[in-house]
Amino acid sequence: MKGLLIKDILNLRINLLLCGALLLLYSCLNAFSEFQYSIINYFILICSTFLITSFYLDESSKWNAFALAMPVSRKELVLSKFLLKWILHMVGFVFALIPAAIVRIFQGTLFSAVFMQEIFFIIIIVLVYNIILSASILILFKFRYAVARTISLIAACCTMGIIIGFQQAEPFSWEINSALQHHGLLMVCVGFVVSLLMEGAFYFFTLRSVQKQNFS
Amino acid sequence: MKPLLEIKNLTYQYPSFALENVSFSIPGGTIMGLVGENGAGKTTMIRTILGTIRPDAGEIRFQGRVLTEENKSLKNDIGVVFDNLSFYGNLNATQAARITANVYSNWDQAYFETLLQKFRLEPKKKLRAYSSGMKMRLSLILALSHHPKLLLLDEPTSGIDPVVRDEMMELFLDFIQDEEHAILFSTHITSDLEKVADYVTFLHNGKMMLSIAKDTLLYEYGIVRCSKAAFDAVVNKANVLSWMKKEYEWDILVSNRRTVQEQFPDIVVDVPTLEEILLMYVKGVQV
Repeated sequence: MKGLLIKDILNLRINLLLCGALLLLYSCLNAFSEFQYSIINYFILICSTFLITSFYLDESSKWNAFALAMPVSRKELVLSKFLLKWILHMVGFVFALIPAAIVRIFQGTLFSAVFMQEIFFIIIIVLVYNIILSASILILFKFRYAVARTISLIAACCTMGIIIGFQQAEPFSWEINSALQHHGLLMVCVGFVVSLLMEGAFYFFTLRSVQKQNFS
Repeated sequence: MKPLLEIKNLTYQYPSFALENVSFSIPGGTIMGLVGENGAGKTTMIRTILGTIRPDAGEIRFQGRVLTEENKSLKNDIGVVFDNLSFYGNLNATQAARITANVYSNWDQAYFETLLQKFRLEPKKKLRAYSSGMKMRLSLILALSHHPKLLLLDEPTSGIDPVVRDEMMELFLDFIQDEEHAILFSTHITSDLEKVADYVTFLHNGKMMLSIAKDTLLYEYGIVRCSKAAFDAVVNKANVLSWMKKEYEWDILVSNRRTVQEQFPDIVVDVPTLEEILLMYVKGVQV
């Protein structure tokens, strides 16, 4: 399975480097402005949709059939995509955290309650996208890439739109900020449990679907 | 010789095509050619052996053990070459090797680099800039670099120039020098098999027409070329496998060329090529 992950990371490294360059540019341009939740959404979404890109690259090079000809099982094929998803989540989390940290360093509020609130918010966004992308993996394995990509992108963009909508709309944004301030850690823990449970379910259904598939 | 690979009653059903009850075995130290027209089922059979397509019925044994996804570690001893290189074009040979090295347990990086030099491939050049011959050479190098016992090659010489094909044939002959290795090599270029194969298996419409030693085919089979009158006489006395009516003659594929030559000294009985035998099976009338 290590070989499968190395393959995906090598395939996506240019995309991830470009994303990192955009992030640095954004950080430099917005070092002293207000924290931009929508941009954080954007970076996490971009990193997460690299997962969809990895499926496209696999399909265009007929990778899955070749992989299964090697000592790789269908279970490892599925598991590697779920692990790649988490690697991309971590990358997205770090990318999202850097501008927030830079802003706080310039403002001298790196270890403040507001910064902790931003970190909790970023984690919750990652966990929401985790559920969406776990479902996307099932769709991408089950259907042809062209169809699956459309469904997955629509789902991811709708999620982003809903989150931005809640952030922008009063009184929801005030209530979310208040909840994060007072119950941030609890929300993150509950989010982890729900996200992992749903991910487990999607993993089970994906594996069941892939076990029945032929790759030619 | 103990068979390295044994296939028994392999069956797979597509909606409009079926691979039916294919059975053969490959002894160690031999090359088996799998030949058939386009769409005969060669690729389906190789992929079924490897498990990328799950067969509907049949058993596949490698080194005496049943080859399934549960004991996928057996595939560490199987090298695979498909007709396309399945790595993204932005990667280079070194990166492709790095990926493959982390899949196979017996990867030999030094041997990989030796083969790269031998086949004159640039390790840092992007794969999208490789020609089709270079891609095929890299596929073969990746397949050989983990020291497999069995090579499964799916049309490796299609679209390859004669120089590279000749190099590949030499490599195959070196590979099977001891009794521990074998090659299953699917192709519709029968001249390659005439050079290197020990056994030949014919597939036609998913059915195995024959699986036989190449020397038996070339030394015992024959094509009788005769008139209609002689045709009736030959068909009654010879071991006829198939026949074909041509514009000015009748061609009859027989499996006992010398006997026919003795019985009918006035009739032309030619030594067939593998291609002619294939055509007689595909286009002729089976008996």
